[in-house]
Amino acid sequence: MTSIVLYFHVHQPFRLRRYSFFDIAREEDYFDDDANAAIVQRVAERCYLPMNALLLRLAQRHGERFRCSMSITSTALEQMERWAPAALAGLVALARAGVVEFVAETSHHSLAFLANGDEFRAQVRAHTDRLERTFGARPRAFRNTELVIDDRVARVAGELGFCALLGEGADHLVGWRSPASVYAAAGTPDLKVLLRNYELSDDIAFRFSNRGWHEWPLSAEKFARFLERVPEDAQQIGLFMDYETAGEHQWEETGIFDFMERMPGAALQSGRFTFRTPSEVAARETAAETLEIPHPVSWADAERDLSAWLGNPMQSAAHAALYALYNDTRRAAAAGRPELLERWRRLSTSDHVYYMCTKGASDGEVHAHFSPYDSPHEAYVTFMNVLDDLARRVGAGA
Amino acid sequence: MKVLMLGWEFPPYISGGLGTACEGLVKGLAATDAEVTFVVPRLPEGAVSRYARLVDCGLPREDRAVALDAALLPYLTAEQYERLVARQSCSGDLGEDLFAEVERYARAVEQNVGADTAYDLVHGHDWMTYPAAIAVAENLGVPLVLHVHSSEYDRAGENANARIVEVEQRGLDAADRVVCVSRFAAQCLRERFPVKAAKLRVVHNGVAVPVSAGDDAASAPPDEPRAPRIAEPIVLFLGRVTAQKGPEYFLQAAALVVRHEPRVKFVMAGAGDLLPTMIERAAELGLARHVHFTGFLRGPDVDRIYDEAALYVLSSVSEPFGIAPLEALSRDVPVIVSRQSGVTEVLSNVTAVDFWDVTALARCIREVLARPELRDEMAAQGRAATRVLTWERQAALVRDVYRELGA
Repeated sequence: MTSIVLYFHVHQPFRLRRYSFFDIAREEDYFDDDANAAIVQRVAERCYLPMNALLLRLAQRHGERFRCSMSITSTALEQMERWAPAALAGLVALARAGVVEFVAETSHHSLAFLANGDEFRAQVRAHTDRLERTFGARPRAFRNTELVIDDRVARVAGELGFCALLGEGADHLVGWRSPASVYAAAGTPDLKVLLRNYELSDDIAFRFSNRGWHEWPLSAEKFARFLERVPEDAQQIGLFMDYETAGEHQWEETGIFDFMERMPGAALQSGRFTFRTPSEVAARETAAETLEIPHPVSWADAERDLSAWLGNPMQSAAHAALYALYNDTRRAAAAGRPELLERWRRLSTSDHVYYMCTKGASDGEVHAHFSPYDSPHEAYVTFMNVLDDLARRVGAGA
Repeated sequence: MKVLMLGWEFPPYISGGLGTACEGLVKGLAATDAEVTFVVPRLPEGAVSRYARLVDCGLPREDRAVALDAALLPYLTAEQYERLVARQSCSGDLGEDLFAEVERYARAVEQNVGADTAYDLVHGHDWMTYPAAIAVAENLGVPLVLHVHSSEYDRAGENANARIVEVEQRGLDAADRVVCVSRFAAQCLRERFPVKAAKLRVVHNGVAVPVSAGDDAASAPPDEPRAPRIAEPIVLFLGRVTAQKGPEYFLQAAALVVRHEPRVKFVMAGAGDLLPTMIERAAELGLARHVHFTGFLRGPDVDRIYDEAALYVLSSVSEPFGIAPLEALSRDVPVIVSRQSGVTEVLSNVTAVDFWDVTALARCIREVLARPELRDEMAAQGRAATRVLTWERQAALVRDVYRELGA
């Protein structure tokens, strides 16, 4: 029997105010609370609340055969606590009902694994504790920011005691092998790597409403037929996507909720599939083989690498400047200013460098869609102004 | 005597020095016997002058954004203008371009300037007004004075647009007198255009002394304790971020300075087609923590940045005049200017470097920052130059040019 791993990612960054050069050393308030509140409330209305209710209905309808998994950043959790508590209550109910397994990640959706191993571990530990407090279960599976995996990430995930690691089933990683196999991470044999089936995932996440797509419109039954085409010996099919896919990336008018409501039933029809969580699959399946991941692989853009975050000089400079402040920030936090570390961590959210991406073509459109700025350059200028202010407050000077 | 003066923009909405210079000249001429009628394609709301009759040609405003921006951005290249129009005009009227706008202005001037007033002379400012000025001077049968605030070669260097150059050449051929804003500008003009030297006259721009200096101090509430917001010295670039202004040289010099003096801030204030490129360059040059960008600054923010600046740098590749250094000096900010600028002619002993010599520029920046006493010295010099260079005095020189033509 093949497991379907339906996994949703929930994230909201703390977007910055229009922080100008003249705000430096004057304005301590970096974040645009008005915009952040408005966005999380809008997304809650359009997506979180209806999806929470939908998942609960699916569990009631299909019983043990329907499970899914979810990761939620601490920045999103905090925003929900402050501005959309009903959405958070819905997630807690799903966890308590055993429908959703929560997956760990960095607390702030950061790129810390690239720049600072200590901070990476610190963010993962902090977030794991927080998930346990909020949802009542200690996470056993791990996903890194933007699904970035490589051998180092796998090693740390193993060291931290996780049993499963989610990653992108990118062509250049999988090669001739199947993304539907369960892999063992090289050097960390106890850690199972579950890969995303990007074709099937993106049929829903990206192509669902695309009228130019030859498979449009996508019904639950048609999607079930796609699933049937996966070879019989497949261990798992990773359907990984943003939670916002329903209602936000694909609007309600596209019929996405109806699809989500009916897809699991259609998939379960043949009896070949069961929906399982990552830790259930990890416990159940034996790794088919070992996967070596020498270079970071992500789920973003056509390149499936880090170029969406660190692909141009502005991004690299901003990233380097942020991590150059880390030690001073930690010292300031230890000396009684813990809020400065929290601010630093909010700046470590990878969205800030994502907004600085200058790629063209269709990936550029995706970037522009998510950015609160008029241009990548404005994103960079704003970020560097904020960083300059933070540097003064942590005593790092210019 | 009556002067029909053709401009392209008038304060309060201006894109650069042209509108300010026209306003100053008009004000200065009011102290002479010249009565000025000042014509623009369209007047922004709030444009008033006690010194001239302002005439709005009323060019179409159906697409407000385009109409307004055409008036605001005379120094866009034709290509940038096309992009702008293409972006803003959803009506699909893609026949729009800067040249068409210039032609429309020429026709509108002919229609708007009736025979009701007997003008003695036509005076046009920069290439956008030349076709209109040539036509109307010919119709009226009066002498033509053209004022070159900058030529296409100043603005675009080797990328000069051939059509604009052609318009400028026709203007220079037709004019009875050509007023240049510096000897440097006159020299550049002669190197690039076949123009009779006998036609050329040099009249430097005047400087409007900021009213704030004395007056505000009395009325403003007492200052907060004077701890500077930012402890590091700030080196300022303030101007359009275009090839003409040499922003790249400013950044290269910054990179050399911070190698020795990491605690210096560089601020690039202004907007322009090269701004995104410069932002990327700053990141590439390792200047992410040293250079800040403010975008286009308006009135109060201009005052704030001058208040905080320790040094102003004019890095222009070719600056016919360059009023900004005088403004900086009048606010007690020392300056380093490009040798390729007209303003050096009115400032004795100013620190000037060739725009391409970034090593020299970096050295000068470090010297000025290391010697605060230079600040007072330079500011005093600047005030002296500013006192002499009034618009009243400079306008009188323009009046002399009119007189040569029998007006």
